[in-house]
Amino acid sequence: MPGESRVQVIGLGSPHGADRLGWLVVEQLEAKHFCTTFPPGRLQLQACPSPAQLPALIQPGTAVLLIDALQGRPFGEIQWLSWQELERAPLLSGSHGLGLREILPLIEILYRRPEPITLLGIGVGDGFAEPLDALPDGLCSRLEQEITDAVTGLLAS
Amino acid sequence: MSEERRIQIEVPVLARVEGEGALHLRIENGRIEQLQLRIFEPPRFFEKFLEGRAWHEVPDVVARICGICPVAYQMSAAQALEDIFGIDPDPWVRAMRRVMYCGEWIQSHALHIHLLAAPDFFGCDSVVDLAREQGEAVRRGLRLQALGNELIALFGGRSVHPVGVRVGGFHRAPDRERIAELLPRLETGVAEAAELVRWCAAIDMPDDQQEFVSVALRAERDYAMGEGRVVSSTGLDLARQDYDGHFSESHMAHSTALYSHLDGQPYLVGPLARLNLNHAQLPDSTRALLQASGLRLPSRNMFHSLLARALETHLALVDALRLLSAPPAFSAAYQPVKACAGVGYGATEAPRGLLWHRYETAADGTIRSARIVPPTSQNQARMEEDLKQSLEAFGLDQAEDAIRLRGETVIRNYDPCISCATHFLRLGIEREPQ
Repeated sequence: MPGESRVQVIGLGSPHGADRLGWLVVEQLEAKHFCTTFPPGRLQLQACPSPAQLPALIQPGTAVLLIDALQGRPFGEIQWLSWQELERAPLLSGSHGLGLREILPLIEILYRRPEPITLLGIGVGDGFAEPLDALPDGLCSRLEQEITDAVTGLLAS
Repeated sequence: MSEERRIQIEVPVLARVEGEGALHLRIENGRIEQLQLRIFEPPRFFEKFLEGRAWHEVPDVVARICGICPVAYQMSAAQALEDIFGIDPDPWVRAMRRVMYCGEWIQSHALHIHLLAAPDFFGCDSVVDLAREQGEAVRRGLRLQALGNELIALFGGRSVHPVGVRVGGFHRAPDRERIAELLPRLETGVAEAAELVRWCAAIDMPDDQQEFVSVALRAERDYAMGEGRVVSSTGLDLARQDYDGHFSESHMAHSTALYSHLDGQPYLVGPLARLNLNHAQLPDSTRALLQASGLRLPSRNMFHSLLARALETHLALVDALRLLSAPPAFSAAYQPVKACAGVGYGATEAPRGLLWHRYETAADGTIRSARIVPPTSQNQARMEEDLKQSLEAFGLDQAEDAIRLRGETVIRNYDPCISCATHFLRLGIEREPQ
């Protein structure tokens, strides 16, 4: 029911180098009390250390917006990726060879969710090992606007 | 007349394992002439990084060695430094450390069974294919994995590279409300782990009997996890301080990981070795599942490792529920540390097997030297020995793809933790008639 839609925004990443980006976005949104932009209980912000843990993290009946780093794309480039585009996207790989490309189809097979899973990719350049301590202000504002629009759309659907 | 042939199989990247490794195999005239499990993960120099660091930094530094078993590294390190500083953790700390360790066993075993190893035994390429055939089993495995992660996060703040462990105990005790929320889920987890044991016991495994030496810790009372003496199936019984006198590490040109030997021979550490040596100490309910499974111990079939992991998952859930339901009296989350100079040793059971640490400190507790012997390097010689015996038993006249797949299955069965890995496998084969 549209009035009761809920959204999980999940930043994927690890403590290492540019792979931290997904976590950083979530941290910065939390610092700005982003959840209070929406009605109480409708939006949840979470960090996830590995795609392999997504099936256990994603809740039934909830739309999901994933945020992950894109290797080899200019730093700060924002790309909304469809299911089909995921196959070709330069995502950082997960451990054990279990990255998003493997885990999202697994979720589809296991749970057959009617709610959408949307992926927001953010370019991190070529240097995976470069430390990433904070998002530049401009990028942070752009991401906040993009995510606000996306969450608003998901909550209204 | 059989054709004489020479086959060279190269598996340049091992799939569904933790880390970067490869397999090189040369078969001539129906015999394996050369077999090398090549670990080419670059050396990571953690032991050197630790030199000059303060004692209190060690648990957080060593947690970064592995994303799957950080708790094991923290526990062995804390134990070794407590050995130096004369700290004997109180019963509450010991019990809660076991609960946290249970969380790591549960998540690591659930990950390995469902996402890495089981596809091999169902003829599937990956867990995605397995999920099409065994959806509920995979869903159950993922629930167990998530529960294990929550136990780690309860004490560590987060499940990956947790930060809660310190020398002397924990930085803080977990919230009672969170424990209360977890208890009913652990009860469900125990029931689900029992189903997991039955599911694994029903899998048709290759019957590949081999002789090998099992090595594990053995505690006085409970199934060893965070403490105990080093014992073997050959009668060895050592304090952890005496490990060096019997176990030796050596370097091989084709591997960046050291090879360990026990009195010059390969040996096995990990779930099957532990079960072989310590099954009498399983909780009653886990032992009943073991008996119902039909598994006879000690087992000489390495493929029983999968069932051993399932049984240990059940044990870990039973123990976590027991200890969180009725913990020892709490007095403090940690004991204060008075640093001093000395040499200390730590030995605990990581999900993949015995993890041994040795540290030397200066008078202010600064680390002067560190030595870490992880389970995968201890199993490396055994894996090569197993590969040789398994492939010869499998039949070297089989198709090359079949030989490659059996080789990979044998390696994955050990759950080697080399570092981060790929699922994709490329294979180069040379055939030359002689």
